[in-house]
Amino acid sequence: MNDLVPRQDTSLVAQVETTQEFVTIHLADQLLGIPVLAVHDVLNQQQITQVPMAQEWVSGVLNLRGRIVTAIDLRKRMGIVARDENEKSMSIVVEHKGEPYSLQIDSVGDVMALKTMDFEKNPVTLDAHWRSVSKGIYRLDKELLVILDVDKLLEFDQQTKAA
Amino acid sequence: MDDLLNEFLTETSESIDVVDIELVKLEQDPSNKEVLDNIFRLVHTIKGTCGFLGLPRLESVAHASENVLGKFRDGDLEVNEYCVTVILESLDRIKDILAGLEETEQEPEGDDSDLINVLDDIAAGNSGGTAKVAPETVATDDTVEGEIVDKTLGRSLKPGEVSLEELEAAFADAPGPGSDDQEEAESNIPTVTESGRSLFERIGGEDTISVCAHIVAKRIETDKALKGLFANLSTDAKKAKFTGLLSTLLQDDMDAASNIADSLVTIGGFTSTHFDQLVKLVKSSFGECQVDGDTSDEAAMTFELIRDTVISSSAAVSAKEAKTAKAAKTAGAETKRSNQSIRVSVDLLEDLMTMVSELVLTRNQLMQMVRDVDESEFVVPIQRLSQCTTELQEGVMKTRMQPIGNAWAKLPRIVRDLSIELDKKIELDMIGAETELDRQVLELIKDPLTHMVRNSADHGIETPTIRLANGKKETGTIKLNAYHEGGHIIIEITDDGAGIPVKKLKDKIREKNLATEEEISEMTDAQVQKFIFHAGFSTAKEVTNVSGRGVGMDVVRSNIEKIGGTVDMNSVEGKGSTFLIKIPLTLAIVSALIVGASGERFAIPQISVLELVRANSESEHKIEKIKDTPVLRLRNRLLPLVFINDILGFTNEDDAKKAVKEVTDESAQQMKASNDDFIVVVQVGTFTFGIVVDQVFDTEEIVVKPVAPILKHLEVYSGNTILGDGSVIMILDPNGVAATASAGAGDQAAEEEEEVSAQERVNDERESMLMFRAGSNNPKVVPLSLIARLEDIDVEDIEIADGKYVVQYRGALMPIILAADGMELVETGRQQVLVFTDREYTMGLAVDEILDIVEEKLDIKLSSETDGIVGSAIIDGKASEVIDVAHFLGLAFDDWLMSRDTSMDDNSSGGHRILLIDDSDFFRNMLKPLLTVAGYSVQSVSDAHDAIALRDNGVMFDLIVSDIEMPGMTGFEFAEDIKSGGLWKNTPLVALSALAGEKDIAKGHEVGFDDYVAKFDRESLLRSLQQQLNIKGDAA
Repeated sequence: MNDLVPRQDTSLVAQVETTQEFVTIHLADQLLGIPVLAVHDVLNQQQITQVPMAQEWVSGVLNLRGRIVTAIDLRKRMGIVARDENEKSMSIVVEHKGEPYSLQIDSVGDVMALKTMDFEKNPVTLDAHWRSVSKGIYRLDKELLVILDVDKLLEFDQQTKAA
Repeated sequence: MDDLLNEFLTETSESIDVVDIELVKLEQDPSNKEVLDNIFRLVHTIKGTCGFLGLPRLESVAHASENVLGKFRDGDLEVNEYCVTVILESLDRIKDILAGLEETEQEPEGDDSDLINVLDDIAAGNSGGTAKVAPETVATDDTVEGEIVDKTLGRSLKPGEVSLEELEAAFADAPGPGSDDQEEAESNIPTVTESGRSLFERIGGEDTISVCAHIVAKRIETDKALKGLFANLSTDAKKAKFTGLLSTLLQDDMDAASNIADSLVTIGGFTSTHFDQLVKLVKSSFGECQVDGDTSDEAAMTFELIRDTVISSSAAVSAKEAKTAKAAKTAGAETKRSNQSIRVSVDLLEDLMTMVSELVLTRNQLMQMVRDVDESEFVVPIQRLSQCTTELQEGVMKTRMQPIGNAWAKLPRIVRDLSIELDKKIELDMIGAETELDRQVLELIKDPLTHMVRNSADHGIETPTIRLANGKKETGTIKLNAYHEGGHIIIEITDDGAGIPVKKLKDKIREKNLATEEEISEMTDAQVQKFIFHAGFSTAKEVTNVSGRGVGMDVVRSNIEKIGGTVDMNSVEGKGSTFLIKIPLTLAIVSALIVGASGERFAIPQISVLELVRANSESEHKIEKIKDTPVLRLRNRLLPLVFINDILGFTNEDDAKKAVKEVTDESAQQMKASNDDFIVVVQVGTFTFGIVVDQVFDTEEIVVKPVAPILKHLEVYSGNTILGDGSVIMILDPNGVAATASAGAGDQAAEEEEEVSAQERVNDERESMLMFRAGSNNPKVVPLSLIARLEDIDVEDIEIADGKYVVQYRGALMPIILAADGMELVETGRQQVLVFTDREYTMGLAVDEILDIVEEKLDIKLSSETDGIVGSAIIDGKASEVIDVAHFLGLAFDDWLMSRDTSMDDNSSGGHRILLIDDSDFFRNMLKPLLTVAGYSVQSVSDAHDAIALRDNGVMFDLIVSDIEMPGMTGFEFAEDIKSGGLWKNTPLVALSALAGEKDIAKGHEVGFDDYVAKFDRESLLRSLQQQLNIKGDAA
């Protein structure tokens, strides 16, 4: 019956020996992680159609094999200074409520299988905005990996209405 | 078969299947209203349709079941196993009848009175178990030939169908083979060869023929070559065919013979060789029947006459098989009707469509690659690929589109039947039947449309006598009109009947307890009429066949809303009613004009484009201007213009103004002359205006896809789509553009912020901010309006008193606070200080360096945990910290803020809109960022009169925070005004005041404040806001 329990719920709490796989992402100087199962696609730089009047962190829409995908500038979304125009970017396609979103990032790193014991909750002093979209932190040998909560990240509905 | 009947059969068998499942569900969960409603609706539809098609048996069974279901629905009867069983039995009966109907195109005869009696008994309340009804076998076999005969339909016989008359004739002619006696008798007949006798007689007449046919039929089954070709016929059928064939051939009845021959072989692949084999068989069978050699040769010769017919009919069959790609190998003599079309889920089509788009993309890429290479060997194959792809794409697109006329096809008959039944004269007028609709949408609006037309005929149109008495034409008209408008498909159903009787509706509302007397008396006629969309609402006095079960309009509405459409109604008593169904284009394919603006491409639905005008200062069309409003003279009319670049915010305000100036400015006009303006003239409803674009490309057929949820709020777009070249493009919604433009136009005309809609003001208020540096390198900002003065003070003048820096300033001691921890005063020279004043308190904030004054929308992104920092905002492109002046005032004056807790709940407040009324600029400026950080959208005004003006303008807020002590109108007076009525009557009202004594609080509650918070208690304020909003949310 254990299989029926959503994995992320339990894995983050108690199970000592289990590992979870994450795709790592470079964004500015920070290393971020997204559960590998949430990643649908990794794309190189794409032709993006601008959507004037949209929220500033919506960089536009793109065609991914016949599906229209909304591109989110993760730097803007996370409140990090914008990328240089010439700098290359990559995208990770995730899904939220059945809609595909492409998160524009600097580059994609490795897929890492991480032990739950290295996992830690967000430090209380973490920037509130980051705290709201981060599930927690993995202590890696050389750096820290912030695990993104894709659903929280893409939960724009309320903000959209407020705007 | 009659198209109507065919459709009915497919539909009904589907419905029945659903009802079957749903009934079982209902039995398990008798209280499930939804399931019950669904069952009721389906059975109701079956009953209704049966009535029109003249199927009394079905109708009576369905009617009886519906009666029982109706009792369930009204709660008069309890759902129990017995009732469900009986209803299920009645469904089985319906299925039996349907099967008979499909076979013979006529309702099989039979008696259902036993079943109906049981059902009626149940409906009457005698659910006590009477004897279980034995399912009656339907006497389909005995059915007489259908009245709707093939010939009357002008349909030729299908391959495989033997005309029944012919068959029967053949049977009648032959006494039937197999009897040994007969065979004996036959063999005894002297075989005389008399040239005078006909071949038929010489062979031995019908008896011999039937025996031969029997033998041939049997032989075929054992013959390897021929077996397969006759596999679809039973032995008896083969026998019958050969009997008929032989007797007609031998009697020289060539017409009949070729008819039979034509239908002899119903499987493709019958060749000349096969025919030879068949003739051999026939000959040998003659031999066995003691027919002499010459006669049998002669008889065999007659077969040559039909050789071509048989072979060609078989070839035709193979051709048809290839064409329809359908194996006609079903055992039955006839393929089932319901199998002739297959239903494919739209999902599958959607997937197919996606794959095709991808194919198109790949094709385009390949073409691009080949284009650069001379004489590539790939050119020809790629061209072929391209051709195929295009056709495939068109094909797939087509599978989804159907003219709306398909949904209307059965309406004329329904109206005709109705007018006869109801003794009315009704004319049905259908306009725009060619309007194309997505298949899925079409399916979903079919029933609602039928319902509505039925309603119009039944309730709307009056009888001729009444019409004449009311001075109307004897014949009533129901008009259906379908057309595209502004990205929607509109279907109008208009009748010139009696309209919807308001008084009757009111009575009904009372009777059904849907509204209180008070509410009814306050309603307008239109509001009352809208009640017909309520579930279980029907005004028909009697429950008739046609309508009046109250399943009508609520089903209509829910079905239409399911596909994101709306239905509206306009009815004038005595004059008639109009129903307006508006269905979004989301699923439809439209032709769109592709235009360019600032390097981006956009699509404008062609349907709303009237014309394209090229404007040029030297041509007769040029853009002129009235004040700041650009217009175009177009055929003696002034056409208002909007610049797409402005609408989409490609140009900021200054540029826009410049652009407008340019047009008027003489010299700039010269410059502009080289640039043509393209104006797309569009029409939205009755409003015509021009959209000025940079470029016009071409038109393309596009499949409208809805925009992602996070872009839904942008009203200028109606969707997006993928163009042929694979790029995504946004589709402009002319409605939204017009709305945006008119809002902007008001802005321009008034030139004052006052005129901007309140909504915009809340969102777009810009703040002047002072940017400075203190401590760290990060810029910090503070709203400029908070700062009283900027000073630079000689460091030498700064003294220390009570452990704090102070300076003598304008005859008083002013405390100096360092703007950041770890920051120090300059060692020598002058120290820059920001002076803040609130009432009698004056404080200096020492900073390292004053950087700039910027004007930005104060949009605080991140709240902060650090003391003295409200949060950070992106200002002038840089992340800046917004300082919390209140914190420093607290540091400077112990009594300024008594106690405070810096930790702040960062619970989401859901973006509620708050109105803040306070006469103190300081408080407004302090509270606004604070509330913004907490996630509220805040608008502030400085006195109660302004607030009331906002209310009178119709601006809504989720909550109002008001000061008490204010010049002019006090908070108490304000509260009394608000709570006495008007738009804000129910808006929670929170008082915020320095007067926080018990008496004040009591008074506050008395005049209508929902909560009373002391002015300096930030935490309680936030808590109170949350509380009030929760209460409001719960109440809503």
